[in-house]
Amino acid sequence: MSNFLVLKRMSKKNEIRRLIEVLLDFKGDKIKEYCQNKLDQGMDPYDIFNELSLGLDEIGKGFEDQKFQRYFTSDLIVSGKNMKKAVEILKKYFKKTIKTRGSVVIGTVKGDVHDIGKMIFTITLESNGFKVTDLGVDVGKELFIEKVKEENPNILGMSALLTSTISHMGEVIDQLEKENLREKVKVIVGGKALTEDFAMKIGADAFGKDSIDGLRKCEKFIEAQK
Amino acid sequence: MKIYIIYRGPFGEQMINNIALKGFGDNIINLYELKPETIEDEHNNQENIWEKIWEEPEKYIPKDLPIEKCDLLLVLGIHSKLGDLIPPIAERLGVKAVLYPIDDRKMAPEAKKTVQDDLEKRGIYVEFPEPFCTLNQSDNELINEFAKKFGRPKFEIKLDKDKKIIKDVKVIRDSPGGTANSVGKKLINFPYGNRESLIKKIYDEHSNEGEGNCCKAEMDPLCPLMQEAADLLKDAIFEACGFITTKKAILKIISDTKEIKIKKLEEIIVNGPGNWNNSAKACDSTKALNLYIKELTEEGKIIKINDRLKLGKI
Repeated sequence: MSNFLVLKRMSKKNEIRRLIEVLLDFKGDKIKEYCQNKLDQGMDPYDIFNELSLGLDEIGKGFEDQKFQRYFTSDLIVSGKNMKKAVEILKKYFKKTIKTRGSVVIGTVKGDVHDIGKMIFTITLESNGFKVTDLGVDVGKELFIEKVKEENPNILGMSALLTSTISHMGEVIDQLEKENLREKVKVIVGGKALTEDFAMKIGADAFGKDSIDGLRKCEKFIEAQK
Repeated sequence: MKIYIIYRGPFGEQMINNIALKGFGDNIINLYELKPETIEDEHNNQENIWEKIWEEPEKYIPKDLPIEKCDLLLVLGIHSKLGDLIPPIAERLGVKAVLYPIDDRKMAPEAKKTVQDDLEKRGIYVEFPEPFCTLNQSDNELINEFAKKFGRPKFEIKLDKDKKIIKDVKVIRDSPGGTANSVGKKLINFPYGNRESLIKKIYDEHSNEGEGNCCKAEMDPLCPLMQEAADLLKDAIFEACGFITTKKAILKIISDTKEIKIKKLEEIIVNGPGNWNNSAKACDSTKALNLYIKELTEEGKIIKINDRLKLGKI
């Protein structure tokens, strides 16, 4: 490898590390400073966001790496929160309007108050042009149905961490059938307690094993609906 | 007491922030972030570095690690592959005790027993509280000094019995990450009349990601450390309010039944995570239940005979 390529690779590696350091800052000061410095340098806010997404993606990969897991749940929580802070800072500078690729209504099912996976998935979808309505945690089937009727989304996303709560997903899908809404909306489910088999068994259209996998599946739904 | 902290990532930073601000700021003599990347960079050309590290850990101690003599070494959230570095580092720092909490299985040293044996061989005492907020009392003086301020939550709570609200919350011992303190504050003026809503409030705030000091322990259904931490917090609050804690519930069930199988007790006391509308349910994790059974046995309040429990003589 030429010296130039080695240097280029090293500088990219260092840049990614710097991004990760910013995203993993517990106090959240570095992300504010980072965004402000880049804005002051005249960088496009979308480019800043995309750059940070690279860091977030690297943390996600490090979390999933079976051979050498480099990042942990606490890293996902903090990087997700910092990414949200970045969006808050950057969004007032967003001038262009991105054409919405599709709409998603999302929530953590009843009995479950875990937010992390859903939050990361929401950020991933939004940063990729989806309009997301986040219903929060501990969401009952009535609210899911009400929002599907009200917002007519392309996709309904449900998340659960606890094994004791995953059965509620099936109840929501059954209710969609009863109310003749099932054909109008694709259903994607995800969460640590779930498997692909379970998702298929309850009649979901897809299982998102992580936020990136979920994004790819949502993109496919939208493509197929065109 | 001089404390040296080796940590990694936001998990470690959260603990340091709380420990420094609310107790041991003047005692912390150094902080060092031990990252796998540092070691990878220093041994750039070496293949399978992570399979070799345990063979010769001294060789892999980062060159920029500052050596300063201290009494207690706190190890917070470092990668499981780096646990082997702790005994030689501890020796170089001249520590007398190591406190190495495990709040995530992936942060537990891969060869925990070897690390423990190696430290003991070097004359260094070690404890691995799992999770950190189970730390209560220690045989070691230094760890005990630390545990006076941080570890298993402990409160003093005043109730307004006319208005049936929690009037005041004083944290006697905070959880190391600061969760007891942040949840405690949110309970002031909260009504205590409805057991289910009070419990839900405690558990929700404990894992509320909007709060910087929320619990970041592992929450995998197979290793519910976060759930155990929430149980300990709930029971500390209930104890301070004079309500029925899980321990009291266990004693009542054993007293009523005279003798009970542990499995049966678990079905009554744990009974499905989050299912708080059941009044007999007292905690969310079997791990917390087992801890309470162990403590009650040690206190002589119950006796364990094979898979059964009965009341003790005390």
